[in-house]
Amino acid sequence: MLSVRHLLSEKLYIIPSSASVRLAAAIMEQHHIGCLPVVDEGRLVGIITSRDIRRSHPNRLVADAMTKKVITIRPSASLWEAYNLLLEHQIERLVVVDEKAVLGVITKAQIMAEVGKYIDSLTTLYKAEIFYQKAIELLEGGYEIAIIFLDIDNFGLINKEYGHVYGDIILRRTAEILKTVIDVKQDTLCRYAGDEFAIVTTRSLAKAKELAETIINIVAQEKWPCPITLTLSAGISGGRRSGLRNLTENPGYIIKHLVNMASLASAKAKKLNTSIFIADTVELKTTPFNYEQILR
Amino acid sequence: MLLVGKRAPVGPEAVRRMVDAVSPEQYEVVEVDHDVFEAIVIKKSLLKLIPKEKLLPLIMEEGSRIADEEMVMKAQVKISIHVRRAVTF
Repeated sequence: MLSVRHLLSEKLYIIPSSASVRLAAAIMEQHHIGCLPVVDEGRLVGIITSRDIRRSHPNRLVADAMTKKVITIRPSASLWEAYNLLLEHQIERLVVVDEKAVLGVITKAQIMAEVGKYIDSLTTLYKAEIFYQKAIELLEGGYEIAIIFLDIDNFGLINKEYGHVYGDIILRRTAEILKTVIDVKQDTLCRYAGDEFAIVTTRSLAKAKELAETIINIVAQEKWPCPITLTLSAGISGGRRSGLRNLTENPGYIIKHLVNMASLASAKAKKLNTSIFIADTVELKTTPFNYEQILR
Repeated sequence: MLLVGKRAPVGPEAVRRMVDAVSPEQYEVVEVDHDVFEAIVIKKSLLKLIPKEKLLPLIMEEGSRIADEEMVMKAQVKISIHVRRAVTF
């Protein structure tokens, strides 16, 4: 996923707080922009938006019309962080700053356009890229994580028996159920692919198993639009972070391995005709993983 | 005193810069949360006679009867102080 830096335009327009609102409006109109960071002696002191301008007399100083509380973000931050900041503060723009200066402004429209590429249109869940990004952030933040991989049993048969429209309804409804069960503070959910969903969580392996059981039970009790009994198979894997730095420069490598293990565990659960299979905890060391050994 | 409307052509910061240039340290600009006014400029010497907490609600109540938010209104405040003192011998 791109970082905030990639959305910055080359040209930055700023205005001092001693300028008039009339001048700010003229600059914004001339350059077709919706706001200007207010900078005095190199220091960000506010932001003036088209909304501020509509509310203020044009003779006013920018200092008397600007919004003084400015939400800023680092250029290295992910678009995901930017998206969350926008939601958290219910704002339309973020000012991008580094230690020394104001670098630019990014808008909600820009961020949404980019983030939208990572939202699954059928279920409105995140796509796998966001899941990976979140998992990497957690690992880099020193958290121990568990991955729950959920697979709808015999989904292909449902599609064949009742048609893809019903299949889509089932996927949407399953996604809704998953959304109500997870806790966004500790779980990140995605539609991994097709009829597969994945959750990365900071819960312990035991708690992750409890969550998977809850999901499986709720789905089993759900009334579906066609006469089926829907079941899920879950595979769970977890990773300890010791030795992580020695393993690789790329934590994405570790996540892919954990996902693969959870996915194989889910397949194993199906094969064993049990709802959940735990691929146990993996010590993240330099030795390549041996899936066969883990799942044996 | 000056009562600065919320949509007046001059705002609190402009007024602050103006009074600081003309009469440094003699005025206090108080930003207020009010339907009509955004700030009140008070001569500091007035506040020796009556506390801000007493004066501001009175001024805003009276001012909002005649002003709107696009106005900057100058208010003249006359304060009468009656002193009664008993001296015993």
